[in-house]
Formats: sequence, structure tokens, C-alpha cells
Amino acid sequence: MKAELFDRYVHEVGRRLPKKQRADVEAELRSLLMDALQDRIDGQGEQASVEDQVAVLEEFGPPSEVAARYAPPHRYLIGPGVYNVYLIVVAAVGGALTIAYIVLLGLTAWSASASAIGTAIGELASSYINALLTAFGSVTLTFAVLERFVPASAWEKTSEKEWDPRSLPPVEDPERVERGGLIVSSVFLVIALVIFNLFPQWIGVGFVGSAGDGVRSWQFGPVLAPVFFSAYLPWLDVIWIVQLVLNVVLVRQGRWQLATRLVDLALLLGGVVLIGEMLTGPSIVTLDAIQSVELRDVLTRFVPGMVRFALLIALIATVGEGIAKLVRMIRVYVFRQEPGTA
Amino acid sequence: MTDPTENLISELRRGTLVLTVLSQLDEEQYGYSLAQRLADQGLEIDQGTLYPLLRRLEEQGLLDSEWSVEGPRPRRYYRLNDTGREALRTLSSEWYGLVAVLEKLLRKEEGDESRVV
Repeated sequence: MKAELFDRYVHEVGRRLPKKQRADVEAELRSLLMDALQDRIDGQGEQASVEDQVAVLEEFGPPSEVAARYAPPHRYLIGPGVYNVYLIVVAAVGGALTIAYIVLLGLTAWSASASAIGTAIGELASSYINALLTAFGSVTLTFAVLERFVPASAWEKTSEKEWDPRSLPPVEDPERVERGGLIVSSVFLVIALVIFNLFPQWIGVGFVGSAGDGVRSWQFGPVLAPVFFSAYLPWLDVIWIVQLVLNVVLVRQGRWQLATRLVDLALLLGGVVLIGEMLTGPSIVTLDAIQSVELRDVLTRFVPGMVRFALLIALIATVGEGIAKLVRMIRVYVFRQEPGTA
Repeated sequence: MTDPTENLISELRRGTLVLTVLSQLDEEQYGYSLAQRLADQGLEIDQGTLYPLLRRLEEQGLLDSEWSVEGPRPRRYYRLNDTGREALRTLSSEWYGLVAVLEKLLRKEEGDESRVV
């Protein structure tokens, strides 16, 4: 007996539950729904219709209410009832700030003189981080206060009359492409390609210090060594361009397939090899271009180490991501298992 | 607007829910069979309330449960454990005490009303 509405319902309840109990509650709920459906059509000698499923689901109640009854009685800073709204607000605020700063960046690049561009971008980056932290902090604080004083039921209030099981969203296809993420990643890829290839002087470090005239101000100096541009950038460009093409293909196809998964994996492998080369080969950092002796001394102390550390973290993250994707691929394509099931 | 008495009745029923469920789980039951059993005896409990309650009682250590694959589909069976049986005894005696007191209180109420009439 196929009961697609039940799958959607169970999924909607499950996604609101802590991961630890999700699979078990989902299995039990599915079994209970089938029991109720079976009981409903027994004696009628006919197949269960969508109307029968709807009737059973209406008896069970809206997914948010059922999930709230399953969830352990904990106090939350931001509880499950508010969590979805919180995520939407955080994404909206973060997105709006990012767009605003990208526009500001464009305006700065357009109007600043070549010598001041690095300093201006540095100031912009530090103000962007501050703005993000302040905004996320304020949003979190606001939601924490709301969580404390507004009853959870106020957030996802759906009276039984309003609730229609037919409006349950479809169960997410694990191979479905997240178009939004891909588009954002493509925008960043294009920005990276343009900056690294056309404005390499913009890449450097900035900090507040004195340039020799005694006045403390924002200082900036380019740090990438010629070897980075001759030995690594061409390969980085290849990886970024292939990634960009892959993103375009994925957005058009809307669904991951074996070929696109393999290309994705190959890109990760390429990334691992390249980062490994950067770590073991000649240093990609040089501080020779920095005029101020004081600045150079300060930077020499920590920039090379920081870059190596960042590369190491990137290496570990890329290897981890590669392994996770490989395991997922084997499960989906070799064992025909849906990710997330035991 | 809903009738305020409706809310009061559902609140009253909610208070008896744990005792109701514990009283039926001396022999093992899966969620739906328990709901049916209670309905057959005249007590309709919202399924979206009953099933999570079974889980909570298990988390509180009053019930044991296990999956069984013997029926047409896998089912999770619940049963009282020793702690649950002890809780049932305590709650039952509390219940009988309450009923006795309430009966007295309610009879007095009825008596007063009949005098007024």
C-alpha cells in the first residue's frame, strides 16, 4: 500500500525532532499511520484513497503539534517552535548585509585610488564582520527573549480546521540540487576569479598600525609570492572554472547524477592535491612588497604561520568533505540506500 | 470562540491520561491497539497525544518497549516495567482518594442545589 502523503507527514514531523530520536519516531509513526489506515479501509474491500490518508492525518493533527509533543521537555534558548522562523530571519539579515557590503565593495573599487584600494577593502571587511556579528547577536537575543515570553504555540499555530494534509510539502529528494547555495557559490567563484587574476594587488593583509609617520591608521600590504601566481593560480583557475561549469549544469539539471557527483569528487581531489602542494612546496607568501619596516617585522612574525595553518585547516576540511561525499555516493549508487537511513 | 467548558473538560481528561495509559499496559500493546482498546471502552484519546505520551513514559522509565516484526508491519510494543507498576499503584490509590473526596464535595453541591430548588 503506497501512502505518499504519510511519507510527507512523517518527514515533516521528523525534521522537527532531535536527530537522536528522529529515525525511531518516524518508523513508529509510519507504522501507526498504516495501522489506522488499514483499520479505516478494512471491510470496504477497496484500495486506500488520498481521502482516506487525509482523514487519518487529520485525526493525528498538524505535524508541528505532534512533533512538539514528541520533543523532550527542555528549555531552549531558541526552541523548535521558533527555530525555523529564526533561521529565516538570520538568513535574511545575513543576506541583506552581504548584498549591501558587496554593493559598497563595488562602489569602493570604483571610486578609490589604486594605492588606497587595499586599505579601503580592509576597513570594509572589518566593518562587515562587525556588522554581521552585531546583527546575528541582536537577532539571537531578540529570539531568546521571545522564546522566554511568547508561548511556543503562537509560532506555528494551525487550528485543526485550517490544517490540510494535502498542503504537506513533498519529502526532500536527497539528490535534489540546492539552487540557492549553488548560485551564491558561483557568485563568489566569479569574484575570486576576477580578483585573483585581474586585481592580485588587492590580496594582502591589513591591520591597524603606524606606517612610520607615527600616526596609527589602517595599514595594508600585498603578500602573495610570485610562485603563487606562476605555479598555483593556473590550477586554481582550472578548478574554479570547472566548478563554475558544474554549478551551471547542476542548476540547469536540478538534480545530482553520477557524472556530476564524480566531477564534484574530482574537483575536491584536485583541491586536496593543490593545497598539499602549497603546504609542502615553496611558500606562497612574501612580505617583500611591504614598505614599512615596522609592518614587515610584525607581519613576518605571524603571517607565514597563519597561512600554513589556514592551508592545513582547508586541507583537513576538503579531505573530510571528500570522504563524506564518497561515502554518500557509495550508499546512493552502490547500495541504493537513501542518505540519512541506517 | 470555543466553549470554556470544553477546555475544562479536556483539561480534566488530560490529567487522567497517564493513569489511563498505565492501567492498560500490564500486557504489551502497540500504539494503535492501545488507542483501539481505550476507544472500545468508551475513551477516545487523540492519537497525536497518545503516541508521544507512550514515548515520554518510556523515557521516564515507567515503560519498556521493543520492536516486533511479527505482524504485517514492524510495530513498537510497550509494557509496564516494575517502576511503572509501582507508579500505577501509587497513582491508583491517589485516584480513589480523589474520587472519594470529590464525590463527597459534589454530593454536597447537588444537595445544596436541590435545597435551593
